Amino acid sequence: MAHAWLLILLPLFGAGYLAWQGRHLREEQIGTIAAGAVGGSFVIAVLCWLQVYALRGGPVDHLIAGGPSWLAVGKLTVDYHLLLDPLSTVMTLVVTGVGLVIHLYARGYMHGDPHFPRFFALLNLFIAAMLVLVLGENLALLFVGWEGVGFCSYMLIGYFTEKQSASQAGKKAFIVNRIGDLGFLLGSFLLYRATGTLSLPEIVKALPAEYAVGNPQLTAAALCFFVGACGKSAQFPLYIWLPDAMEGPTPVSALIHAATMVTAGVYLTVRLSVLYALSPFASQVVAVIGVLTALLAALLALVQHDIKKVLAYSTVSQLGFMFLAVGVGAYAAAIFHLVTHAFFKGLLFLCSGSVIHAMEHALHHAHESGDPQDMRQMGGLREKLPQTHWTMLIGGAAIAGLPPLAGFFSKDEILLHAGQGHLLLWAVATGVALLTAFYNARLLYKTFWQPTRMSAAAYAAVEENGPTLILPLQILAGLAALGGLLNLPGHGLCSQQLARFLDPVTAPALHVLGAHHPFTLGQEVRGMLFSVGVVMVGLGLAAWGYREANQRMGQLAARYPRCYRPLVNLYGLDEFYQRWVVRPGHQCAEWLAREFDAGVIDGLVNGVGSFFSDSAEFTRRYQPGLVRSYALWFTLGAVGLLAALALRPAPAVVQGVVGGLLLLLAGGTVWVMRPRSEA
Amino acid sequence: MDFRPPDMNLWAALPTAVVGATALVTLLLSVLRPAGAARRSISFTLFGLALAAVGCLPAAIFRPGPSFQGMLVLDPAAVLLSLLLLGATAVCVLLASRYLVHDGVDAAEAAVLLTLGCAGMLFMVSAGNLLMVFIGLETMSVALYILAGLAGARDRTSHEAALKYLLLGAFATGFLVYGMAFVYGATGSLDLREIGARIAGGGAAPGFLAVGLALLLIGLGFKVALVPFHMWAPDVYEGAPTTVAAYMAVGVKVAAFMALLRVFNVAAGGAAASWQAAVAWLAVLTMLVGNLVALAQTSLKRLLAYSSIAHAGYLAVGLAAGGAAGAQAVLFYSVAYGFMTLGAFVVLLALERADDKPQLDDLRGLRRRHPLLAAALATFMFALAGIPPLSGFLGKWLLISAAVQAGQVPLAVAAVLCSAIAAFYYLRIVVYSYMREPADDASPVTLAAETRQALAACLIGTLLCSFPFGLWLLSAAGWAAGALR
Amino acid sequence: MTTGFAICFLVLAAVALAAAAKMIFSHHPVHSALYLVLNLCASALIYVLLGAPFIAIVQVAVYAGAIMVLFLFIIMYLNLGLAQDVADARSRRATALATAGLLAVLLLAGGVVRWSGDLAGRPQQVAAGQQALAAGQAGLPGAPAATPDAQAALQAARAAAQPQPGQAVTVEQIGVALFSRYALPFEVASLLILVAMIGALVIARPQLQRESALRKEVSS
Repeated sequence: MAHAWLLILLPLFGAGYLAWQGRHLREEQIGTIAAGAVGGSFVIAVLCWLQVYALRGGPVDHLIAGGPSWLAVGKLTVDYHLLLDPLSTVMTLVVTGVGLVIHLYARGYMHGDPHFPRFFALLNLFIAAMLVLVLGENLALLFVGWEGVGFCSYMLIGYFTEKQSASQAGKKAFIVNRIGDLGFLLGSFLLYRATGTLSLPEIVKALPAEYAVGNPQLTAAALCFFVGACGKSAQFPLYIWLPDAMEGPTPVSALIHAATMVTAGVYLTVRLSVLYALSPFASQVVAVIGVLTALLAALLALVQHDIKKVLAYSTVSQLGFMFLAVGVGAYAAAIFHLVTHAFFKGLLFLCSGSVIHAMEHALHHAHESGDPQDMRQMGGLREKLPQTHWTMLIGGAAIAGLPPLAGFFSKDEILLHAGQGHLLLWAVATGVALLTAFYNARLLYKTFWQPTRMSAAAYAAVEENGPTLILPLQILAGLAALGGLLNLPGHGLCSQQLARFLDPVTAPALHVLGAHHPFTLGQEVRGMLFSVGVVMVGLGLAAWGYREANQRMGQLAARYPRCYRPLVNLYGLDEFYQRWVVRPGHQCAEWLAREFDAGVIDGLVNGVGSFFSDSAEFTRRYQPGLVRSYALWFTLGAVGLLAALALRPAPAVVQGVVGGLLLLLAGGTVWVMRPRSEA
Repeated sequence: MDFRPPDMNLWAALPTAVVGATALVTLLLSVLRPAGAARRSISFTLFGLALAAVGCLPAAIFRPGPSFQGMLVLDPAAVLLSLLLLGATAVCVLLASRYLVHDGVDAAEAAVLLTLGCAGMLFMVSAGNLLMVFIGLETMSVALYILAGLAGARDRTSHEAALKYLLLGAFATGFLVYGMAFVYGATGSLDLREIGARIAGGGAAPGFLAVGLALLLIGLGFKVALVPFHMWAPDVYEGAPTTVAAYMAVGVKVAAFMALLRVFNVAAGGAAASWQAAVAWLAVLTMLVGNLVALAQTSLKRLLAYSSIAHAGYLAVGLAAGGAAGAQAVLFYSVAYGFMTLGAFVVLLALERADDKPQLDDLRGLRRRHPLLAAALATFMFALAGIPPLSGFLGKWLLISAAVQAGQVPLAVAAVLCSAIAAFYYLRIVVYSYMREPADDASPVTLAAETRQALAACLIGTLLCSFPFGLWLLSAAGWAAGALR
Repeated sequence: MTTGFAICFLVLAAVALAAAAKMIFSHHPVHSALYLVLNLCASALIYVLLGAPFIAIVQVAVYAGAIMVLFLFIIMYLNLGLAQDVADARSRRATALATAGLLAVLLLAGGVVRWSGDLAGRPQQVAAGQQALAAGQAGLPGAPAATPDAQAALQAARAAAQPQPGQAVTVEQIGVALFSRYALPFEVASLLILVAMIGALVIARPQLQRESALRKEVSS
């Protein structure tokens, strides 16, 4: 299984090579190397998947790609092992597959960027880190990947270093993620305490065997891990960094902040599904936070004007859906939605990138200044960007949940599970589905279908992008359309393929949860019909609100400012953090900087420095070069040494007297031999 | 009165005999055939030193025990340090043939004095008896008193250095001999193994022994420049010709530390409780003063002098740690220290101009003026600062882990802190030579053939002591330390 | 240790010390040299007391005789006047004296004063050693001993037995010791003297060269 290491090493070498030699390469070469590395990784991922697929039904359900031992401290051993099981291979395929498409896209999108090599080096590094995350056999290795993707994310959000807001956003993401990391670490420690190992398969094996349902220690661990997941996957109340992360280049938004990294939290909770199954309370928390995030984010998406911000809140909302699925025990459904979401959200982001690219070009051409991401400046792009329009329409329909596109099946699955006894969860989730349909339609209306609000010159200058940008859109559009085939509902031969494939991973948790009643055909049909109806209502509302360039929504907003204002203000959550976390922190830090740092630390450091230089200066001057002063010091030293050896068994009084005399003499010698001015 | 002939195991005496004979023959040749004596005596001396190095090999193989009634112990540790001292002497002879001759010194005289000094050092490292320690030390010292004053014709400070060294050296020797007398009084023997057995058997008078050991520590501490017996070192190093300063910094220190090791770690190991704390304090004081004062130096020679004082402190850490681990650390560090310090002095010599002593400012832009020399200097400085994977790092690591093993954690901490201070002035030298622009009137540096050979020897030696080759030396030092008794 | 021995020793020691002090503090170099002669003679007599007449004679002949004559000769040749009293502050001198005094006290006290619990077990060893001595196994230093223990006891006895007045070491014994046990240091000492000789020549040579150059100039 050693070739599994190649999965990680290929993009890692790509990153290293580009960082090292990238400056001397042409753009095409850089793009080819970067995409080639990820492509190679993808091929190996397919091979690995085939190998794991071949294990189906066999006695062994996972493979380990061995590596050297990392550390061994007492009982704890951590090895460089890669875990190849259904879950990790599915994730690998998504990461390398979607990653490859986005690499191809980025070659065109980043054309002419002054830091082209850095961008691709970081992108490759991200892929490597993400693969470490999903393939790590133990929590320690997983954490390495976890931190690695966080680092790449931070570097890429702040990629446009000349933009102040970009570096601010990077900082924000970094800091918020630290809270999550703390949760992850605490969770790891708790699990290690509970099981005595960090190896994931062993943990999964040990937990149900050794602990009963509802063990408080496990609940604590599960909650800690969920804090980690909240940070990485932008769940309430830690989601605030993700919308700001849109300051990064659009391919980054698509790859990291939609398709892969932000789903790491979902991956983690599914990976530890046994833990959540053993802790009903933690599961409930996950479900409630998930659905709450889905609702809050979907509402925020309604009022955004920045095209990427809409998609960002949409991502947060969809991630909430996935956590809802985890919380209600539908682990396979969560992964299914994760996969389809990677397809259609990646697609939507790339489409928005295509729009932004075209808008930038047009604005530049017409010598106009304006925000190329502001939907209020768009409209009527359907004729100008036909390819983008079509693909984005597929993406929008998929996320809205129109049959038979991918999002329809995956979302429906989650709603079905949520409906099983969690009525409130189901109701809210259904409402979110409606909102999802609404805001996606709004996005499409404002961008493509409403009459244009651009100046004539700029509108005339809008041109469809070239094939490097469009081809990836088409690939992803195909996936978004057909992704549902992975896990069709029902009980036929082709149904539930993904869920069955993931069975070895989810089975222990499902076993803990108890008997699982498969849905009857009637339930499924009813659910589908209902959700189609909900989506239709959402689309209809959007059509009513945005069909023409009318002001109906504006009027509504003006009439109900109490509903509208909090949304525009993002519920004041940022304000809240600013006021209660950031500002006190700042004040505290400032106080520390002013009082403690300047007074104590600086004083100490400067003091140490000047002490050394002063004393060095003194001792340097204190060398009058006279043999007799040397001899005197020599004798003093001799007396001291003699006293130290000869008086060791002597009573303390004698030692004290001699010591005092010595000190006196030393002081006297310093005095009588002091450097004198040559007068 | 029955006469028992001495057990003359000539294998044990071979290296020293060859060195002594080399000096005598060189002297005779230079007197009998003065024409071309300079060249001939240098090459003959180098040949003799190489022969002596070869002469060490039988001892390494046959392992003669204590010979000449226990006077001479050519054990593996002695062989190891003898090889180092022979190499260092060879390098110094090579340098002397260029630089001392330049100062108007007769090459044959310099070679003879260096060689005789080396003989004294060899006796010290293989001494099995306090008498041998004393005679070896005096032979070495007398040679050095004269060598330090060799440049007196050109530079008055050279005479001054020699006189200072002589006066204070004589003062210190008084302590040393008095200490030997006390130890004899306490144990009834001058033989180190007998002293060790007596101390271990409880048959030594503790009061006399403590005084004797203190006086021995003072006398030998003066030679290795432990604080507060160090004050002569900067003046003498600065005044003496640089070749001689290098010889002192390496040869005297290594030889005297080996003697300290034999007296304290091995013979007086049983009475460790009485001297260990004192040596530890001396080590801390020496590291602290040496490094701190070095910070304020601008004269490169004085800086290296204080650096060598500080390194005596590090070596004393190994002494204070005691045991086989401490001995191993001292042996390894002696060899590593020898090469890197010698190398630093060679670079200094290459930079020296006729009129003045090199200052820190003279290093400006060395990278431009002579990239190879700058790289060599940087290597030696990194090694002295103890930056991995160079020899100094391995050595410091050994010393510190020996101290920790001996339970002397505060000592280890002090050593680490002091090396942190030391890094500052070593790296400042690298910064000056690499990052400062050269002065306008800076002349390009040219290296003489002898300098190049000496530099190469030191560089190879340093690299051989560095990771990974140094691991071999490390195990050799461990083996030699295990065979010390 | 007999009383007579003790009285002799104390008197000689006092003379040696006083002579040494006068040597240091005399202003006139010739006086200093002569006080040194006195000091050397006094210590030579102490050697006699300790049973080493040969060493005593060597001491008088070589040091008090040859070397001191050389010293005096040089002093007179250079016609040195009174030593300049170094312009030292009294405080310096006091500090130096106090330090030296403390050193002396420590050297004496360190060796002589027995702190409690210092010497447990020592009398027995001395007794054992004396028994061994009585059994006639005592010999020169370096004589083979049966076991390390016996050897240790022997050495302890010897340490305890010294100094023994009246048991003079003969010249023959010294000769044998020099050519057997101490052969190597004896030989190496010649090397030391050789170094010193070469050194003297090297130091003196610039002067010689200058003089010969001067002579050449004068003659030409």
